[in-house]
This record gives sequence, C-alpha cells and structure tokens, in this order.
Amino acid sequence: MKTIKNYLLAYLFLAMGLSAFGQTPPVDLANMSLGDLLNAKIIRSYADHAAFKTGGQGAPLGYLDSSRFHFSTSYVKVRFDGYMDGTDDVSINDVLWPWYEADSPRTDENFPVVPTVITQEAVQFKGAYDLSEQWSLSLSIPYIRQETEHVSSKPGFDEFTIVSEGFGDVELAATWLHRLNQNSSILVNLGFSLPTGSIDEKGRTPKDANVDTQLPYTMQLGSGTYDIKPSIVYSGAAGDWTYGANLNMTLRTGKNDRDYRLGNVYQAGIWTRYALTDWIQPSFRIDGIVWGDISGEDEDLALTLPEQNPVPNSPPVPYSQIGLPYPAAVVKPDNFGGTKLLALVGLRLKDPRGRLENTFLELEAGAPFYQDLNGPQPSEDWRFSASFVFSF
Amino acid sequence: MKKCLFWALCVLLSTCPISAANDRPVIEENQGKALLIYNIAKFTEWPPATTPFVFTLWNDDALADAFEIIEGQETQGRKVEINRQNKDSIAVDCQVIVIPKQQLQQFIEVRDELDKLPTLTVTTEPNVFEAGAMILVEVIDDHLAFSVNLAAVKASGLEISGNLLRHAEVVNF
Repeated sequence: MKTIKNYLLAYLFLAMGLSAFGQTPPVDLANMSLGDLLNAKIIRSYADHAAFKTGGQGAPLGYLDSSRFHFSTSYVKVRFDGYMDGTDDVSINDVLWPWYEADSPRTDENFPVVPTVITQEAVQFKGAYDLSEQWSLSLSIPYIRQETEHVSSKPGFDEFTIVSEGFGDVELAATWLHRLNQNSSILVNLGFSLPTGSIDEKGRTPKDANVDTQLPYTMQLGSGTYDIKPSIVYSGAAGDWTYGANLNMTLRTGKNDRDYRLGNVYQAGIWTRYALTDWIQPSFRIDGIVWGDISGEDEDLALTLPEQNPVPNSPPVPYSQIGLPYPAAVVKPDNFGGTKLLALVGLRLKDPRGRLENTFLELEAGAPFYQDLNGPQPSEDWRFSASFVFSF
Repeated sequence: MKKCLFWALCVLLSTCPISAANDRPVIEENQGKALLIYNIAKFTEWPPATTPFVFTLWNDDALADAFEIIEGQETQGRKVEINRQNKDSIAVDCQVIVIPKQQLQQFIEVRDELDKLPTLTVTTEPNVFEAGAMILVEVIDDHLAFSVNLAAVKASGLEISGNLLRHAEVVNF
C-alpha cells in the first residue's frame, strides 16, 4: 500500500512539475511576438471567487471573475452502513443485544436497537456578495433529510425506519482573499453558525409504540449551539494544474437547550485539479476529519427505569442486564467522535464562454479509506455531492 | 483504499498524454491580457514624449499584478510604468487606461473627456467596449483575441498599425 501511495505522489508532483516547466518564464513572456501571443494557450486565472465563496468544501479551484454576486446550490448525500469500534469492523449481530437470550449479557457495547443504514442528504443554498476585491460576505441555508433503517430486539419493531427533514443551521461568513503572488493565494473565512435547525425532532421508536419520542442526536437537524467556523485555504497554479490545501474547524460554544454540545470538528484537506480542457476539469482530493464526542446529554434519549424492560409484561430481565440506560449506540454521547480519511474524485464542467462563463457544475464522489471511531459507531460507506455555481 | 487510489491514478494518468502533447506556449489569462495590451501599445503611434509610458489599471488589482511582468520594459523609447488607480475617479495623465466591468458607469461619465486625449482606453469586458472603449481584449476558446473601435482611436489622434489590425477579431470603423 505504501508503494502505491508513493507512486501516486511521485506521479502527481512529476506531472505538476512538468506542467510548470512547460510554461514560458516571465522574462521571455515580455518579449513574445504578437503572433506567438495570439497563438498561446490561455489557462484561466487560478483563484476562483465563485468557488471559494460558494463551494464550501474546500476545493476552491478555477477561475477568477469580476462578478459581485455568487450563488450556489449543492446536494450532498452521505451513506453510513455497518459499524466500527476503533479501526475494527463490527457486525450488526455483535451490536444488537438479544435480551431474550439468557447467555447474552447486556454490555456497554450492545444495544436493543441498532440503526443499520443511515442516509443523510442536504441541499444547501449559498449566496455571497463581494464587498471588494478582497472581502466578501456569504449566507448559507441548508435543507436536510435524514433516514435511518433499524433492527431491534423489541417485538413489533423488528425492522423500522425513521425520517427527519427540515432546514438546518444557517451560517453567516466573512471572507478575506489575499494574493500571495500571480499564481497563489490564501483565503481566510470566518463563519458563524446559528442554531436555526431543530433539535426537537420526534418520531415513533421502540421506546414508546404509541407516542412520538425524541429522536437520536444523528436525526436532529441542527447543533442547537452557536458555532464558530474558521477556515483557511491555500491555492496555487502551475500550468494546467491547480492545487491547494485547506483547514476548516467547527468550534461549538456553550450547551444547547437540551443540555448537550456536539463535538468540535477539525478538517484538513489537500487537492489537485487538472484543466483537461476549458470545460472539463477532473480533480482529486484527500480529506482528514477529526471530531469529538458529545458533552452532556439529552435526558429524553436515555431509558428511565420503568421503561428499561424492552418488552412490557414479558418475563423479567435481570436488572444487571438492563442497568445500562442507552437503547442505541446513536443516543450514547461517548459513541460519537473519531478520525477518518477520505479520498474523493471530482469533475467540474463549465462553459468557458458567453453567458455561462461564470457558471459551473461540479460533481464529487468518494469514500473513507481509514476510520477510527469511538464505537461501536455507524461507519461511513460513501458520499456524493453535486454543486451548481453561478455568478453575476 | 485500493479502489480509491486506483480511481485517482486513472484520473491522473488520463491527463498525462494531453499535457505532453501540448506544444503551444501556455500563459495564465491575466498575464496574457497584460502582454496583449502591452503589444497593442507597441503597435500604436503616440505623440513624441520622453516621460514614462504609463499603464493605468483602474480598480483591478488582479490584472495590475499581471502587468508587473512588463513594468520597467521599454516601448516607443519610453520606460513602462504601472499606475494602480484604486479610486472611482480616474487620473487621465497616462497613455493606456484599462477599464474593468465595475467601472462602467464612471467610464461613461468621463468618456467624452477621454476621447479628446491621446489615451488608449482598453477593457476586458464586452459591455465596456460597447460603451465606447477603444480596445477589447478577451479570451475566446483558449486563445487571446482583441477587437478595435477604430473610429474612437482615430478621434483621439492615435494611429494603430495595419499589422496589428489584421489580427483583430472585429474592427468597428
């Protein structure tokens, strides 16, 4: 595996180096003949305001434009399937507690309810306005839909699905773009996320077959806290290649109305993009994400003593087996957080001319190749995103 | 893991032949525009003077950065200087003014005054060209092109070489 990685990196840098070598150095440029100049292949400017200000995922490569307003709509889908504890895969059967089997003791790593497949989808609307060449303001509004399939050892709830849907946390951000030189720039972004997304989503679960009850943390639409989201992005260009690195953070403040706080998120990434033609640009990105567990807890998610027996009127279960208050891994605050590394490939499509000059469609898909989770915890299977960006 | 690396390798390898096959000079867009504007100035006949030859970039830092590659060069026997004009009003004591899209209204306000001076008004925006700028520099497909509003050039007392005009995409008489 190390050999493959080394070859890949070697190719990447060699290709970038060769591409840069192919450019005419500045001294020669100033003395180019008119004919050579008109025959030259023009590569677009490197720092893409539109992508910076509306892309959001730290892949801000492309074209500088003089537009003042930038808008994007992006769709993101992430699928979680299976469980991991640390770096080890864990089967659903290992996580599900069959309370009716006498030789299956309840531990802090098994649960009477187990989410099997979690699908999170978000459509994000983002608008940015350039106050000047360097400064801009943006507003993001996400609409979220989450669906979780479960199995449980409670009769009547052998398999069930719950869904939550609605607007998430609105984010306001200020962005400062600084050009280091003709071929590279740094962008600093400071965002504030407001707790507009619901943390009171309810649904029908095995906890009470007759009444909707509070859904797990993973099914809520917002954090419930005011979050600070700083990020810094470096991007550069060498011939037809653009490349860069980014560092993003989500820092939570205080606790929400349900007396918990989601973990901070730290994300770092590197990427490269190649201008195959003016209108098609493949990309490759590696992202690393570290996020923390939950502080405090939503007391409505824990089982209270009379409810601890998963089947009312069933034969009594020894208290030693039901003394653990969490019915599922996704309601246990310690079972959040971890580290993951993702590899993503993308494609940007744009019309380089005319009315669509500042418009592009970007597709990206990828999967984790390393996960170390505070588990047992649902593990990510894959993710996909599609973004449409336009400026005027 | 292997799958992801394989995808990445495919993407990168697929780009290699195109990179190797490209034998045209490769120039970044703003640098190319700066060089073309510099060349147009060289093919223009100016009133004799010994003062520096000044290119004014009007509220356009990105393009002004690109102009640094010609700063200090010589044209018409005069040393090239770059003037970054970061105000809404424009100083007309220069030979070439580059007008960005966001200065369209201000350009319209001073257009009549500029037309009387031996100053070449250049833009990279079609809207500004339609509003009366003398030269439009743009990228079409992946190459540079320019158009000339010859009537406006002549009204200012400047002369553009026929060797330059034959390369123009459009010439408005």
